[in-house]
Amino acid sequence: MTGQTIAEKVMSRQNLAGQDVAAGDLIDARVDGLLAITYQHIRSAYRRAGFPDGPPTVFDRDRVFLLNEHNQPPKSVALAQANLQSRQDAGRLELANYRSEMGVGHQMMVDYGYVRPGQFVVGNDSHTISYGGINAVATGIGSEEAAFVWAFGELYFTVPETIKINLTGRPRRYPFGKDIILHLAGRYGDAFGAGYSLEFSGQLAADMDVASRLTIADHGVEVGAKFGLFSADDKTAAYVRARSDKPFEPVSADPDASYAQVIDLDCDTLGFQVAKPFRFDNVVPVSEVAGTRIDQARLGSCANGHYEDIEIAARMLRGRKVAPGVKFYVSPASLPVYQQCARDGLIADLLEAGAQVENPGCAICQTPGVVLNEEVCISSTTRNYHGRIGGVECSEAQIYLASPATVTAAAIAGEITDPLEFLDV
Amino acid sequence: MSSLQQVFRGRVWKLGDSVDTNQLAPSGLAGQSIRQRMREHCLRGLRPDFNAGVKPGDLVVALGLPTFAVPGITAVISDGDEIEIDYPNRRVLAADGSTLAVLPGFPPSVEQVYEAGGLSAVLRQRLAERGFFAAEPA
Repeated sequence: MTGQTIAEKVMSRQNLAGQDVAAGDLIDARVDGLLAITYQHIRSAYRRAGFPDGPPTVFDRDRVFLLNEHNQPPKSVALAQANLQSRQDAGRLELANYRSEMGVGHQMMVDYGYVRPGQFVVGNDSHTISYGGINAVATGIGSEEAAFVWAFGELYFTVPETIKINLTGRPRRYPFGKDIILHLAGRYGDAFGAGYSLEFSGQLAADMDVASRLTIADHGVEVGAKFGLFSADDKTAAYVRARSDKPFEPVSADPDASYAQVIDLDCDTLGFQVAKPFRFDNVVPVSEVAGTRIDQARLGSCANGHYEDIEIAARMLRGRKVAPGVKFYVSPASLPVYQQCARDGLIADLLEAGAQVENPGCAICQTPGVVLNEEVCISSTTRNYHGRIGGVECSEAQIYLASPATVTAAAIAGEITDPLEFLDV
Repeated sequence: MSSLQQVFRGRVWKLGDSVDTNQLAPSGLAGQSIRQRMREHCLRGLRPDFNAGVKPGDLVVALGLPTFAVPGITAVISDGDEIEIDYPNRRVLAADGSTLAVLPGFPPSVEQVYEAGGLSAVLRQRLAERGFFAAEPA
């Protein structure tokens, strides 16, 4: 038998049939954890199954993470009632890990130590995949599937084939993960990872910080992947131990693991990348869109709302101002990130420069935020399809995706520009 | 007759190899209770004619974020083809009866989903096995 990829190892361990698995196998597997957000959809699944009062049970009160974060504060009576129901159900089922606070669930999962290396975790949101940045095999599922996992802690899966991506090149002193994954999407298309597990390796993967790994893993789903995985190292261990005292067992691929494809990407000369409207893979070097006037800049989301992303913006803005006529919205991805930014003076820097600091949460990335059809926005968030920020009435709004440094540079200049002129590198 | 014992025949809407959830529920409609608008906009980014043209019994062939994929399926099927999905014999057949693709075998839980008529029905059944009975018929 050949060696195993990270996905094959973890899914072998979780296979209910108790056998080693290989890519292509269809299995029933137990999960180590379930992220449950937008709980009203899970509750609706129970109502459709004949349980109008919500889930009657939970597979493990310690392993269901009910994070009531999307509607904080609720903007309608219906959403307020949904929040109340989540609190009542969490109490009735004695969930150990229920939180009702503003934030992005995925950042909260790592911030509160709910997910750890080597685990197999699902959640009812596509960016659950981001935990691969700390070596957790994680993927998004639908709300009906989440309702099933909620009760039984298991689900059916295909063991995916794996694409190995070797990253080399010099490390950067600013968040660079977005540029790497955008470049990959631009070169290979936004479906190159469809149905695959992506394993990121190589010296640059080892050199980059955990935040950049989380960014790349998070965007695995934008290129269609089931998993986006990094090996765990000392940085991973330190990151997790700072957030959890629970044990964990990292998983690495065997040297003779079998890969569907190996991509070698030398990032040494790679510059800043921008995805033009309306696709994640409509990617060009920043120079090709330099001079494009902007109305909004947005910084945040599960992809780039980490402390390191806010820090680079604050660093670039010190002694500078947001350009007249430009709105620069900044949303730390969680309360712990927000608190750390505040303690370190970053929030003061942002406010002094004229940025508008928003509540932690997903609104930075999508409706109910609004970019009008007449407007141009550059954003560090996750998607730029028609109407992503504003809905069908704003389906022609121009949204460019870029790294935190590129977004911040545009906010300062009032137009898309190479951020190097604002970076001390 | 359960779904696993049935043979499906229908016209193909081939939607390509990159169908994500934002194509299914585009433009910020995801998660909202706007069913009519969801119907109007579902898959419009890939096929503007889908909403007006799709009929009961049609088959959608696409690769998106699948739970289970049929290897090679989008390469051998064209838009508008009439095909047959013969799960009992694990085959996808062309109109002339030739085999286009081989279907994978499913794990027990998926067979249960097909037999019960959906994941919701299995949820109800398995909860009943543990003494949690639905308060109302689904």
